[in-house]
Amino acid sequence: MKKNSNASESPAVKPQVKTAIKWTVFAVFTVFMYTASTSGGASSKALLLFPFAAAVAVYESEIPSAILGSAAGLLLDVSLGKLTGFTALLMCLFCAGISALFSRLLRKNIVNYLLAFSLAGGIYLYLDYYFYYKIWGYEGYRLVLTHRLIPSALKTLAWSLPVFGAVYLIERLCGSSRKPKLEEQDKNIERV
Amino acid sequence: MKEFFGSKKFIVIACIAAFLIGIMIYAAVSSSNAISSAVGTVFSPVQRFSQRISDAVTDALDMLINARKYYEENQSLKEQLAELYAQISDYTEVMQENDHLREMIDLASSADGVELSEPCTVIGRVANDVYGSFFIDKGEKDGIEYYDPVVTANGIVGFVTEVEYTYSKVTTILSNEISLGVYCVRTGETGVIEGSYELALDGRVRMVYIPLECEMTEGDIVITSGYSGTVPQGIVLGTLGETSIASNGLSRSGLITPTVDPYGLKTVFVITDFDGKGSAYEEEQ
Repeated sequence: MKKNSNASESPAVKPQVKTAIKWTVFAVFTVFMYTASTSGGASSKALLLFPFAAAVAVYESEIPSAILGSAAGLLLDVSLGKLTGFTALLMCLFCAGISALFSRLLRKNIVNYLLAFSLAGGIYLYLDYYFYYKIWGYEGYRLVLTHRLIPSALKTLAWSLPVFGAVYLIERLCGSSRKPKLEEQDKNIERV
Repeated sequence: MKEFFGSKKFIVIACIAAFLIGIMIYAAVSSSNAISSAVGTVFSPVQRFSQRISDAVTDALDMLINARKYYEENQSLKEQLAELYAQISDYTEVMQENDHLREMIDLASSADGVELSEPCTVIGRVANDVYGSFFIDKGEKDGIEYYDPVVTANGIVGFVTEVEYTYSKVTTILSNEISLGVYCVRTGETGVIEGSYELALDGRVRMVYIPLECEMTEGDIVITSGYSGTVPQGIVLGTLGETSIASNGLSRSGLITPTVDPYGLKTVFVITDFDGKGSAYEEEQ
């Protein structure tokens, strides 16, 4: 077998190890964000798992994004006391969609992330409000929107910036550093 | 994007989505499900630890931020105490009422046939819930059952509405899903407690079906009637505020401020058994 003689090209840490570290950090983040959403007082809270899963979806491919989105959604269902699978299903679809968009159409930057996340968050907010409050028409159900759901959504949106920053840093530090080569530099290509 | 919808990735994601729909249907038709139970079991210790840290930080910040408020509250309470000393002239009446109340709120000693659980720690709160629902660290393994009443020494808090092996979810009496038969200690007039989103934001509930000619006045204490067999008779619920004629014109309704603030609870007790538990249900059978 032909060995790569150029020592500078061999990475210090193997890509598999980097990937393992990255997903371990993501798992720790997931646990932390779940406990953060159930701790403290009874005021409206930011749902950190949502922007976190969306930020990971920006950098990862569709299937890992969908799986992380589903797991984060299941945890959110438990912490929000919602029907198990409701948030998980929506987040699975959102994260897969965000991943597909960012790998094909959108540039990976914070503005596009905020736009994509706001759209997904807005759809989730409406579906949550509709299925859990509006459809039943209980007395004063609109107050839930103004006193709980919208404040929570705004807090989540505000937290999405540092969350994206954290995911970006993890991806920079632990992501597989793919270095595309110019065709001219690749001696294996047979030229006509 | 077109090639994505025809790819294997899309099929895998569709399968995950179908699996989640299956979970959702299963969760909808069963009262308890393995996923939330497993999540709760795994995360309960982490939640408990996290809640302790959160409580410690909140308490420390609260003391710093609200020092002035507490000082004023202290002064106000001192004035109230002075007024109470002035009112002690009617000693006999106060003593009788005091004995009566002590009898009702002292659950452990007065309520024969009531079995209380071990103290249950509040390990987490249902995020963004208007009613202040929370999770406790006792579950099926500790003898907790669905719809067991949850209390503190000050009165009733709510009911267990989800029981998993190691933890349970408590829905408070502020919820619009809970109705409870109550009566006034002083006048004996009965009514039913019900919650709403609007009242929950003020931490209050409504007492309905009060007779039009009621003798209840503001400040009267309301306790559970125990008629439904879901909760023992005589547990303090709260104090009556203003009353008004209900929209149907046939009865009155009044606002009740519960004696227990569900938002600040750290420890509660579950009444696992009591005389007459489920009696109304059994009569129906």
